[in-house]
Amino acid sequence: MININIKLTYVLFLVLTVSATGLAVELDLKEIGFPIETVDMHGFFSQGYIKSSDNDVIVGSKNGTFDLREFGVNFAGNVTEDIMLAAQLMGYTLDEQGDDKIGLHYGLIDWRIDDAIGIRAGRYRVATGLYNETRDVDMLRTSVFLPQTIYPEIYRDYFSACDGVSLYGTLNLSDLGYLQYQIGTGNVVAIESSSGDVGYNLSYFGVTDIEVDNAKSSNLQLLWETPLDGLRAGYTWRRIDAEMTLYDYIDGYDPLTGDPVRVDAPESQDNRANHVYSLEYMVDQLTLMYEYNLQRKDSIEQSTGWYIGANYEFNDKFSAGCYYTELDITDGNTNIIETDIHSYSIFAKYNITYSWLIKAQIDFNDGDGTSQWPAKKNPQNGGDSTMFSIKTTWAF
Amino acid sequence: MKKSLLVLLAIASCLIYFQSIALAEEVKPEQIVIVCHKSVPLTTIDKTTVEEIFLGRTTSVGEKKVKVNIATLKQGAVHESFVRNYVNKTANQFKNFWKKLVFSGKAKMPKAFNTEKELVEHVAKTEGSIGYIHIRTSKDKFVVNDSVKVLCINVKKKDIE
Repeated sequence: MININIKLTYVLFLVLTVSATGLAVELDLKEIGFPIETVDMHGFFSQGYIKSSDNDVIVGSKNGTFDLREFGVNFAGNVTEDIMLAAQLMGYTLDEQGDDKIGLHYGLIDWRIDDAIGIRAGRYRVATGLYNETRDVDMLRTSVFLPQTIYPEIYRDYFSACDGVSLYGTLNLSDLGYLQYQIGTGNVVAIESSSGDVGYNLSYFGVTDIEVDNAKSSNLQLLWETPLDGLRAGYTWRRIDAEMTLYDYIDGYDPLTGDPVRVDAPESQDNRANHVYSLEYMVDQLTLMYEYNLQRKDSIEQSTGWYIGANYEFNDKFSAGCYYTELDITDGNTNIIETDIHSYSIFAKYNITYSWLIKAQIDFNDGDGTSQWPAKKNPQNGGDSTMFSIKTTWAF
Repeated sequence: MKKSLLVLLAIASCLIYFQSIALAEEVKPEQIVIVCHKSVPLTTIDKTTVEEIFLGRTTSVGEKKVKVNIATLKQGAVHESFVRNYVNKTANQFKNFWKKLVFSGKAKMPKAFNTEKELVEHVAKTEGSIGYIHIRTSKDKFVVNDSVKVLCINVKKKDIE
């Protein structure tokens, strides 16, 4: 993992200065003898505000916070017609996560042997569902947050990138459309979090410290672009195997005093697999989405999450949408024990200029939320809560 | 009552404003032609091939597998008509489609130009490049000359309905 501590202000200065032009930058390196003729540079900066009525639904939203921010810059250039180098440096803050520290988001060499087969090696974004690879890039969606039951913020880094190798390609199925595939393996990448070197912030769940070793990732994604224009269907399988030790975590609450009971857990295997089924239908300005996620831990079904949503582009400036999402705890045999979270969300986005946008979202949440909402900050989880978020993004 | 009317009026004004933004010069799909560098071994092109190229599914054409790289317009009626009728996306959807690839390290952004003249100049001097312009522009000898190839897009009637 590469982490470069650079003050946010310097990054802001760089990103805003370049984005002030509203244009992507093409660096001509031929004259200085660099093996790549030109390098394209793009970047973004987002700043948001969130406030929730009751629970800290995503982060420190109960009291309202501006700690909702992302910034990044990427470079890409061709060594030959078929070989490309690409890298992105990125930092973010989401309450206690991220802390504006800049890390290598991806950095890879991509050899596209043919349209049907290519290979990427290095740090690559891992596909999970339709939107995981680009979840950190706010401008690419209308909503402020993706549905949390499929794309939980607290596991954001843990599920996002991998150091390894991936094969990919697009198969032309003639009258049956196209099939895109990606298959890869490698080590889980954890960009900095408050818990140290692990990519998801278990401190939210009351853990003082956590140690994760030998975290291996395997993934497969199949995306079928059907003969019906705009309709695509996908399946993603992602498995992570890691050795995990939790220190000083909240094992429950004293029935008499209500104080948390803290214990250390011995090292254990954290073996989890996700199966995500996706459907997206884009017809004119309307996009309909449905995704279903089945999570198994140690081969036993643990939870299912799904959402259904729609997005409508009124014109090139204004778009709006909504989704309903639900997370269910299961008993290991596909039977739902309880609905942990369910929420309705509405959102809208306005493109102020070609490279500057503003968006807002309201989420109406209900449920216990024990699987995702920060227990440390919500010792008495549950009940209704409404969250409002607003965010603006510059990109070039 | 008065307050409700004011709110309704505000909402209606917003809707009219947003719709008015959408109203612009209309370019019919048959008014768009493909312009490509002489190295691109195509003499005809159909809608399927256009879509495959401009969505990055196909990166080479012809028996010798000549690499193609695409050139687009940034905005405007020609761009909107092209992406809507030949790529089945709105201009925003098309932009986001490529940005998703760029911001996940999977591709470089296609070259984008403010004017058709700039696009043609780029195509003329860049091997393997392919773009699109208004048929009216293709007949302007000050913009398009023998340094590029101009191809009409073969379209089945159902493709643009």
